Amino acid sequence: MARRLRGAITTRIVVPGEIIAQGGQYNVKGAAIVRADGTIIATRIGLLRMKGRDINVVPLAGPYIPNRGDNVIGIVVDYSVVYWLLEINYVWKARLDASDFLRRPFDTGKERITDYLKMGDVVYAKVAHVERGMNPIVSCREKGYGKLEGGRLISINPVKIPRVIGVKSSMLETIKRITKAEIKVGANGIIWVRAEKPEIEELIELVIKKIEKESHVSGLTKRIQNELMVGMRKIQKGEWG
Amino acid sequence: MRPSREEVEELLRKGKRIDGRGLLDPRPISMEVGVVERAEGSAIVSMGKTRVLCVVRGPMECVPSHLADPERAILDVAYRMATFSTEERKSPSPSRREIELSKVIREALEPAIFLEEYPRMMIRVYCLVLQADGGTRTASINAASLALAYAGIQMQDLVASVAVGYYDGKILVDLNAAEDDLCADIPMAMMPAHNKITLLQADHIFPVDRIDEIIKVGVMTMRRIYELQRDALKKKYVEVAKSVG
Amino acid sequence: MAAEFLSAVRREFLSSIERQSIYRYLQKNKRLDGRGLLEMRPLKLIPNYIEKAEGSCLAVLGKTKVIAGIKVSVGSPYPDTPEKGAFIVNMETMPVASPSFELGPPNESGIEFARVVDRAIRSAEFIDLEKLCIEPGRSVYLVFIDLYPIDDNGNILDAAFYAAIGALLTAKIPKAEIEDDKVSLIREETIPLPIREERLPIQLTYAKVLGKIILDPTNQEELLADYRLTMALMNGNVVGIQKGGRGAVDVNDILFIARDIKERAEKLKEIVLKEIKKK
Repeated sequence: MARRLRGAITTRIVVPGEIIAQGGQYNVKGAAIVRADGTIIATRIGLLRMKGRDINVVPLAGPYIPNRGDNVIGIVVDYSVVYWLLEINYVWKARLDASDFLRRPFDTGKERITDYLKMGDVVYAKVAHVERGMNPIVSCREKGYGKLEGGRLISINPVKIPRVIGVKSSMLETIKRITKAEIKVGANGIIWVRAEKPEIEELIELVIKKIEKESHVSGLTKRIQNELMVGMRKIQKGEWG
Repeated sequence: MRPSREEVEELLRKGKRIDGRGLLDPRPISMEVGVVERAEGSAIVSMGKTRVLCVVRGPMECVPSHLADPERAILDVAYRMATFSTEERKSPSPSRREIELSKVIREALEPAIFLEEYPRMMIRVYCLVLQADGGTRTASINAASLALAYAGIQMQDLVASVAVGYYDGKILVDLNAAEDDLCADIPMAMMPAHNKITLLQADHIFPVDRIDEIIKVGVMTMRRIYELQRDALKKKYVEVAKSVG
Repeated sequence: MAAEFLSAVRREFLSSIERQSIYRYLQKNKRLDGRGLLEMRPLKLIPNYIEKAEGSCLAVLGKTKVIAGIKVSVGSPYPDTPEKGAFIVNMETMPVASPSFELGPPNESGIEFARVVDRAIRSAEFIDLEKLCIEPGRSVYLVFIDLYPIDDNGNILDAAFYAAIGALLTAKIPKAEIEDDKVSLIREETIPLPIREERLPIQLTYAKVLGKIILDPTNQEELLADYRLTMALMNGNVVGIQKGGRGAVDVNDILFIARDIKERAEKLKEIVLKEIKKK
């Protein structure tokens, strides 16, 4: 059991059904519920963070469920006359309308949808609308969204994405700063990276996998920063690989 | 080599068991999670010589779509025995027993899962018995709970399971194949944190007055099994924490 | 948890970017997992994985896992081979290993793989079928070799083959006793399943991906492959070939693969024998 005491914060790994606290008023966040009799139990395997009366269970595993406003990376896996369907690592495919992607009306008489996006193309989009049991709608209208080309894709457990981004984007900015790479992070567990050299992309992939694996261990940001700097030096000296 | 019915009987009359265990001792249990890369959740549970692999897939789209429930997920459970899991080769086509067990295992797990969190979706649980020596449905339930938790499915509890036996006035736990031939076999499962039973079956014959004790013994053992399940899940993550220091 | 390549857990197709990544690596004669083009993943064999079975072996090829189990019974010989025992190889494609496997009888891949493994073992005459005869013309041992993939990370075919070989090399069958004209198997007394170790076959699967021939494909590579070519050798002889996939094979590729597997045959045999003797 990993138990760390930093000030008044206790953390440990919890499993479904595990009793976290009993009796009294608590502020409960994350994968935990308050039962009728007042006991608080975890509902997913997760990392419990408890400080005073605040309880938060950060899940360590689980499927991606999209929320409006999520940034996602999707792959074109099907299409109809006026829209594409994207695989976004969710139960249902996301729909991207041609008129949204092109930011103008789509002329079915003159144009063909595959002129713009084909099977297998990768898209960075924002979730515009979610309704349970149906295809969510995504949009590329805003600046910074659209087709992604080159670089590579990295797939991780979606629950670890917040850790890759970091508090106030601190982790993500650190990676970008040290490697000068373009990075787009999908809440659905997919990350796109494009750097000057494939070796840098390899380094970033390694680092991201490390964040995924060690997300619940403290001191991570420092270790990652270190790893990145050592890696970049090796690459510059041609000693990578 | 299969112990004979007479051997088992003789020993039980004296309050002893063929493998030297105490009446209330479960067999040695081992549990490992995350053994299949290409599945959202997986676990292998061994109880004595019985070994079951369970894989969880999903949540996914409901197939066929007309089965989808607008208010909750459909839990689809398949219990199958590998051809080499039994003494005589078992035909790969599902038997009536496998179909019945698929259903009771599903109904043992459903109360623990927040199915309403996954409306119109399907969660698939596959239990493959690799080696059978009694208690395969209980090992399957133990493994399925682990695989579901590992996949991050929302649950209000894990489900722990064990079979209790009764013979000649004696109550014993975790029957192996030779014992469950002879004894009344009472498999059960529970959600320990909620103190609720989700699986209960019985065969053969035992006095109704002993039901209280039988259930008490079962609950006590299932609580111990729950601790092993909890440890198996945590172990996976603690290993990483330790390696980093 | 950690999916290796774009929700590999769920998906059965690759995006254009992933395709590009694999292509770029192949141009440098490398693969995404760091292997060379003709490098096999580590092969581990765990024999007697299922103690109650007559024979069994868990084969782990990289992350691909297949369990082989052997069960033996007594039956009548085939009419055209009255003095030979019989064996049959079967593969069950349970949805455990891959999202593309459905519940039910084995799909066409499962059947194809079982038959390919069967052919290599049969053509090599690895199992001593004469020694499996109990009463000529009347009763023989029937050996069932059942293959269960439990984790598909590419090249189930080779993992299954080595699981079967590992199981056969370490199997113990019950002695047969004839009493009152009836044959019964005495489970308490066992003899090793009769095989001819000197006729041990080996098998390797290659694939043509984006213009390059690679050995032991992962499932992303399988998705991009034009075709796969599996070959089995025994003491310098071909004992099995199978081309799979919808692409067309260049004759030079066949010759290249034949040469490559010939060079590896001895080493591979050593690895197999070392693995099963380890326990």
